[in-house]
Amino acid sequence: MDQSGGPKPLIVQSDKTLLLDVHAPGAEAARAAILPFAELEKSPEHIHTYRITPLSLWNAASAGFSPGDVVSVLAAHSRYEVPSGIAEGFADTMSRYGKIRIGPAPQTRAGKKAAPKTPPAPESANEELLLTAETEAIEKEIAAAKSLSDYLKPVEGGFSLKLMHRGTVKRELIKLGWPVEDLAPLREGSALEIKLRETCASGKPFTVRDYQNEAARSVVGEGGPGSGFGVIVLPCGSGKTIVGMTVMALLKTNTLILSANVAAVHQWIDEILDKTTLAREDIAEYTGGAKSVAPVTIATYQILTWRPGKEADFPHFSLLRAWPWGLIIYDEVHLLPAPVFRVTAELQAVRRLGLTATLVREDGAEDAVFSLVGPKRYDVPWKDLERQGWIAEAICVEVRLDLPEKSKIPYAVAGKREKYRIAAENSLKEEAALELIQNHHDDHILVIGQYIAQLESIAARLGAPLITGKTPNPERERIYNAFRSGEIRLIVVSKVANFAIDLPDASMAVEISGSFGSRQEEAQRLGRILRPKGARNSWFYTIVSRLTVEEDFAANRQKFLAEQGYRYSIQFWEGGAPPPASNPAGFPPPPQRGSAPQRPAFTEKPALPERPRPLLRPAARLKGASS
Amino acid sequence: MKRPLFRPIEFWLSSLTTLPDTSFFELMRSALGNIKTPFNKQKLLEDLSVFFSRPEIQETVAAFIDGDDRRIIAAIALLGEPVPGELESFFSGEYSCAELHSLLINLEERFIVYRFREDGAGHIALNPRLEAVLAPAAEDQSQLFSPLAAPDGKPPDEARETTALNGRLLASLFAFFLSGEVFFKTDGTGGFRKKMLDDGAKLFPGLDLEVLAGGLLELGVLIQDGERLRSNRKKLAAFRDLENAERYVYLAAGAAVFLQNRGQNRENYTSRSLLKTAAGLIHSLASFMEAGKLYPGPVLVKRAEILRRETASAGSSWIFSGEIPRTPLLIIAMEQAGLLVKSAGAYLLAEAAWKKPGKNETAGKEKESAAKPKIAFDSPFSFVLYPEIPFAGALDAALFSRIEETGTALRFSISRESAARAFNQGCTADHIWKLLERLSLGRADGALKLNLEDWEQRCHEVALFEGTVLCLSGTQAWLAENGPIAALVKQAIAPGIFLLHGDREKVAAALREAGVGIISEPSGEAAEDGADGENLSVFPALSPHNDSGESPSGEEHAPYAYDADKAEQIKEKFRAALAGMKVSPQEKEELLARIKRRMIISDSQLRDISIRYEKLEARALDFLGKTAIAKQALEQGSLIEVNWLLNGEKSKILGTPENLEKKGGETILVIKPADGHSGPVKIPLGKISLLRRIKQSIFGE
Repeated sequence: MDQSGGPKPLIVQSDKTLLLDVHAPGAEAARAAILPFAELEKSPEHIHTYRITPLSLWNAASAGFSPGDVVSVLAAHSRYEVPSGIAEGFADTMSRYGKIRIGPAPQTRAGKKAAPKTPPAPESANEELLLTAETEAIEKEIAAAKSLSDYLKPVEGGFSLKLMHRGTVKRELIKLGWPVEDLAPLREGSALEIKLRETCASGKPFTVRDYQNEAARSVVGEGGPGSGFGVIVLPCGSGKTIVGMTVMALLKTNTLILSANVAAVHQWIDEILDKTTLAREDIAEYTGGAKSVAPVTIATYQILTWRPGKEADFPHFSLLRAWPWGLIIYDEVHLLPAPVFRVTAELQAVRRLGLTATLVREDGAEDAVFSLVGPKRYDVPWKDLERQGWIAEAICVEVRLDLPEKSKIPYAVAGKREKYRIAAENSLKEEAALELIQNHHDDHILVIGQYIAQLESIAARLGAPLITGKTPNPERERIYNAFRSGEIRLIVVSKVANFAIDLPDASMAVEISGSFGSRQEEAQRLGRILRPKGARNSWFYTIVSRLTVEEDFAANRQKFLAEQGYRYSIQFWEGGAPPPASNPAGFPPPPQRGSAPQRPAFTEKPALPERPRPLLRPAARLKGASS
Repeated sequence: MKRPLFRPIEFWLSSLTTLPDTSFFELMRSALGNIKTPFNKQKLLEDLSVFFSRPEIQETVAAFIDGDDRRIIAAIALLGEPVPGELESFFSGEYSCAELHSLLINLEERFIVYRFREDGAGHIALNPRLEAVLAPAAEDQSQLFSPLAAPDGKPPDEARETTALNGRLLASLFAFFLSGEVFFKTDGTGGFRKKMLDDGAKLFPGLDLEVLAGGLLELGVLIQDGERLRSNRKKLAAFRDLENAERYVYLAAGAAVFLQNRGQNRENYTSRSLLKTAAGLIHSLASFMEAGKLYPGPVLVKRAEILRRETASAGSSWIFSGEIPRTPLLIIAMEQAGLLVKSAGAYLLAEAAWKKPGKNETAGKEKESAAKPKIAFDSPFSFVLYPEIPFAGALDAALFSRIEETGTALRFSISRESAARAFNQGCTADHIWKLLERLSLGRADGALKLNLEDWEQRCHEVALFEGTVLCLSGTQAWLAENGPIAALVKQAIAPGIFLLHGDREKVAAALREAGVGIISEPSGEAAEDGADGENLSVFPALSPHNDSGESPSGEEHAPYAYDADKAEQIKEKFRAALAGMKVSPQEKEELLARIKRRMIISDSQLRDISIRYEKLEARALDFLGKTAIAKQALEQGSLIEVNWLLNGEKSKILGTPENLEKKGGETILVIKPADGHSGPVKIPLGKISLLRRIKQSIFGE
């Protein structure tokens, strides 16, 4: 029992997952207590799941936590007896931390086992480092590891390795179950005078929010060994760019920013100019269209990984290696392409910041991101920021509709991929989308889809501009700017707008198709409408063909957001049937921010201000329920 | 039929009259001292009876009774005048044959037990003249089945060695077994697929899923349906509604019957009588155990054997005694079913399975419990089950869920397939939703409700009967005219009803290929439900169990105390008396040995006696003594125990002497080992450190 008499909030499972009952008294205290040694896995509405992993235990050990501390915390907050045996593994795992160290290779070494705590800075990537192990047995295990043989050379007192292999060696050792205490200092980079403004260049007051500051400081740390690199996970629209700029202002060093696309590059430039003291000439764009370098350079992953032939070198990698960068920011770090992994492994002497909202990769390479860019330093449940008003409250609705009769037989005889395509391109989706859009005539709307023909068709019916991969960058910019300025309130976009497009006023997204079951895509699409808009809600509609494989893919797509606490209400759209008299508008009007989600049943008219009538005849009937 | 503990005194006396004269008079002398001629057997027997009825004699006999005596007295009472072989089996693992033999001889010498022949076998019985002295020991069966003392006085940790099955795990087993996966080998052997057992082992480490599934099959709660498992609704409901302990008992009974029948082809249902008999046996064994006490395996097996024997002799004429599961299997089944848990190599009753809360406790807990959620959703389609969830709630949830994770809390998920499985068993979306709402205190996700309703509707649109009859609703009729299903249609029986080619797997695959995610496969179990008779309870009630925490042995008020201190004082008194007597050294040695063996219970037995000196053991340098004992043993064919040094290490052998050989000036004893397996052993007499002749029974057994 908790002191208040209620049940304690934590349930400790024998597989080292921790279930936190967020409704139980003491849940917040328990959350704070377990954070140093457990990673947040998911944070839905009632039960949050944390996991104790070797990495999280090593991080705890590096912060001075002992196995006994971990057990005490668990025992103090656990509702039931902590499973016997769970604690035994902690001591073994945590004892591995600090047994292997990387430091600079000194000219002379006083003793075999003593790795210096404050080694001098290495000057080039070819400089050698020294890896030492605490015991001979560990040393032999390392020497026997085939995956390390190309990088480590046995020398007196340990192994020498090249600075450029530092990241790779650390990654391989983690795979072998050995965390490395990295005592080699980071390169400082060329200095850059940069401060954050108190009033934006645009004239608006500007203050870094507490969580943004906290996130930035969690990476920068005290400047000692083990700090200066890491990944920040924050929801879309919560100001990750500002976290990046805060880190830049703290470190005051030349910075390379890698971003997802040209539009995002321009957004970074605009933001830096708007919110920092840097001048335009301090900032350069390195993309397909412009290849200049300045103390702050913003490049795309695409240009960095471009090469003239399949077997050729990556010519633009020199951008990473040649300039005296003191900080590299990996924007949308979940998109980090494989070649950039390799070059990142060489850049372990440079401070690194990864920014993402959705560190879920369908290729399972999250661990590689953590070991090369840095560990996750800051993560906050999306719903927490929503409650605090830092991101918009998004209401998610899955609209289900039947396949038209003409598609049912082709669907039945099609192969699996083809089935998905038929379901995704269900022609009735256009009707449903049109009705939704008409019902939200004061919202700024993105219609997002996967298939170009479908997008072209709906764009034509809506008379809305369309952005796809083929749209030239200047044209994209023009459309985005028109949307931002309010000149247009509706655009149709393909997956090119999935990431890094900041459209602050977008308040509604209609997803008419998606790439199979991508959880990341779904979350990023929702992210486009999460910028706070005062008292207004944001709306995320995903239209799905009923009784088809698209339902399964949709369920998978929604997993990440469901784990973040988003709940999709389901509504059935039945086009053509006459609507009941009580709800002539067809779709129910959405509730205002802060009001409880309503069940949009025909028989109940929500007690909300009436929305304007749709422009088209309300020929659809909707039934369903939200929770 | 179990015999009474004590026969009439006349029966005891008459059995003594059957002794050969030498033995008879030797026995009389040992009790009554120097008896006078002419011998009158009847008079002597009367004197003997009077002698043992004297309070001071009974008091001394009682004081001399030690722990070993009590255990053997209790075993004789429990087994009902057993033959020696039965006692040996009963005490196997505790006493060697020689030790037991030796103890029995001593009890005979002390007139505590006697032997008689009946039905061609020699039986061991308790002396009725000493009933007042022996009855407390005879009735105290806790001596035989006593639990181990906790080394530190703390209750043992239940889960130290095994994962005990609890209500939630048992419920989640149903989610696993009824998942619709192919459970049985497709080669027709009927065995469980290794993959399923391996998958299960990851979810349920420490549980023997084969035994548990087998047990549920024996109970009829699960039914083998081709290569899959499905439930019998009626029996499952009855199993669900059983009182907690009875549920575990019946599961253990099913598991025991399964273990007994494993490997045999079974074509018939396990009879209700056999299951009830096995359950009764298990229930009795569990009732006998004290909560929180550890019992060694052999003790439980012993107890179970007694119960099994009683059950077999009193059992129904419908059951052959050979059908009742063997006792070691009962113990294994009880452990697998979660009734017993292993700790420190012994067993204790699992509290979760056996403890019955008091009435006040129950009422209080129920009130408190009702205000707390039993499940919590961690996504719209998955939920965590808290340990407080009652079995019935967990089982109901398991029937439409898939088990994802086990641990302190379990995690279930609901998918289209798992819901369809429940719909096929007659469950409705509304029932599922209401249950989830109740268990989560209204925190179920609304999206789930709509999905459930949608799935239920779809489930009714496409139904497959017996694997080959397809029924399509009007909206799905087109399915039979196109694509993979059309190729399988053999005949249109009626509008929307089609007879298909191929087996169930093929048809289901074709339906999935056509994009049908949910197929209704209504089970035809209505007929099977009634297979055991409509008017009989599926699981007959068992007698209430003892969960009071009191010792089942109870404490009787014995008229005479078994008192080791007093016994030592009495012996000392006899030794002091002997010291003042003028007797030869040989007589003194014999009398001292008798005092030690507790044969002297009265001063009169030290005086005026005629003692036949009988040396029973000789040590190292007593070469003559060793030779004499060896010769006596050879003559009488007695067992001997030989201790000697072999390559510097102590060795011991029990056997019958075959010869005394001379070889190069050494006398060599040839012994045939009592184990009956190894050949004769030759040991030089000079190397024997202890030679002991094991006395034969006075009764010549």
